[in-house]
Amino acid sequence: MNKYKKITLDGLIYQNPTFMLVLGTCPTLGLISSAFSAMGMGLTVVVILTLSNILISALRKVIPNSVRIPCYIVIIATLVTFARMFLEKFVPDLYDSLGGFLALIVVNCIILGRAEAFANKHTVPEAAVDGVMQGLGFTLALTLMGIICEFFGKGSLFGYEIMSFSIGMLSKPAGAFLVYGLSIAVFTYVIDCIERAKRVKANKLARENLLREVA
Amino acid sequence: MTVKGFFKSNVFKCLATLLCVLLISGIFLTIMNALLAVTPEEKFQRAISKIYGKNVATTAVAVADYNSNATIEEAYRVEDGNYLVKSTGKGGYENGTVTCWVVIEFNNGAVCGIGKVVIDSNKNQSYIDRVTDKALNQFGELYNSEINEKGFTENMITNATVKGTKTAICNAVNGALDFVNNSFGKVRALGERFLEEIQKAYGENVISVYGTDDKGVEKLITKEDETVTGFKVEAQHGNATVNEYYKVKYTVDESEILHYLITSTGNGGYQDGTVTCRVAIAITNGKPTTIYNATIIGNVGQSYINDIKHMGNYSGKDITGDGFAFEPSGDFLSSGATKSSTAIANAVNGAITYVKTLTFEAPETNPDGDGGDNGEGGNS
Repeated sequence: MNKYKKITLDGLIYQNPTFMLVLGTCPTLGLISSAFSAMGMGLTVVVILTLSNILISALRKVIPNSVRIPCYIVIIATLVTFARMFLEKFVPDLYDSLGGFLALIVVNCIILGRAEAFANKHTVPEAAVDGVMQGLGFTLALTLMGIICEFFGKGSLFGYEIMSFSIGMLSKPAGAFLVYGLSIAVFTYVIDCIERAKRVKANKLARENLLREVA
Repeated sequence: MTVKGFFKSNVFKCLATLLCVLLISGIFLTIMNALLAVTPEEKFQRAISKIYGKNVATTAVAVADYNSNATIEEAYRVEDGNYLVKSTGKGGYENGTVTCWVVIEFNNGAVCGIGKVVIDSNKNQSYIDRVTDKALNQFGELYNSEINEKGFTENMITNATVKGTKTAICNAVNGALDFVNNSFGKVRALGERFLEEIQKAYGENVISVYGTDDKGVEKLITKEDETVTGFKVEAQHGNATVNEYYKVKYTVDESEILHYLITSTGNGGYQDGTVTCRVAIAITNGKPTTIYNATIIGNVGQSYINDIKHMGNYSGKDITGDGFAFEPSGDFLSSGATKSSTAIANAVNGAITYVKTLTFEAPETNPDGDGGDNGEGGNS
């Protein structure tokens, strides 16, 4: 398989940071009560993750191994501070809705995790694609759960009122926790079904080949 | 380790790398901060844009506090003549505060309405998100109809279930109103507010309301009156205290109709609280005959007062029978507010008992045979 295709599929599905690796749980539970905030947080993470992966990959041969973690933290913190400044200046509504979670991206496990597990071992283009795909995987997961929580918790979608009926608890972190758990279960089940179907198909093919060889 | 050895060591390399990363990051952020910093003016224009939907020219005005429950942070006169006040209301949940931007509509030297209320920030108000735009819009709708001399109270705002936070918001809005009224406008006379409130019950009919002057002599209440006083009673009648009454006169088909408007406080409410009602009783042929209407004008500790839906059922009820009393059941009970319903029934019964103790002059006989079926009342 093409390595970029593998990175893409890993980021979006097989190593999805939210559903498969269960990383970035704090902003997930805090922000999925609103689809707008969830998507905003996801897109911010895409930008920060991509830039940090690029920088860390580019500097991987310059930064000594013993100070790599402090260096990564400084780089990520710089990017997060820049993102905060940018959002406050140009997208104030999103800046207000993300609140403290924006600053907490510095300690987001996804970003430091990808820096440590992927970016410092791969080339700049690969690290960039990994950053975009992992970020998009996070964004899609957050937006999907944000839509569910906002629709059933507030009766609205992206702030526009759809219906008057709502289940208040789903717009709170406790409800978000339930939706998160159920989403992980459904996602894992679907992936599991696909993998099983693939395995059955491969086994069938192998058996047919074996029978053909025997015959 | 020699100096040369130190500069060649891994320790130096680590320190130098870390310092370089820090230095480059610092320089980058300094430049970005200079380019992207949001000035206080920009922040203020954003706040105004949120309220008005566009940028508007404003002039800052000096602030002062006229209400102990609120602190005025900033105030501006807007190009359309209205005032924009940033006010912090006290008394919220866990003694927290809520800061609001309040647009006070101002015309002809007087406050004429509330344009908009927008929450700016809060302290300790965990459930602030329960106060929706729908709830905040009620301030504009209630002004001129519900607002009395005490200003807004939390029970007026119905689309939110956070009592403490609503109290702080009401205090912020009241503080903003008091500030603009006292600083820039003539305070709307109490008489005007009072008459508007009474007029609501009488629709198109032209009414005259009589109270007393400071010496207790009957006088016609006018819009210009800065104080409004009724006929003092302060007497206990059953489970109610009758506080005062006014006389309302109006003419229908050339007949003058007289109502006694009695303010009565019923005991026995939720958590031993009280409900104060204003009960309008029609006097026909020198006798109290029917309840024209009954309205709640205040309460103490009645958390479920907004669940009271049966006040309209008192209207038109015949009260001529002896020993007559309303029971808090059937048409005179609202489910979910049993205790408050009891206090209301006590208040209405107290008003009826009191009015029956009064004696009224016999009606003048009209030689032509029409009109004159109402008596003029007086204290017993």
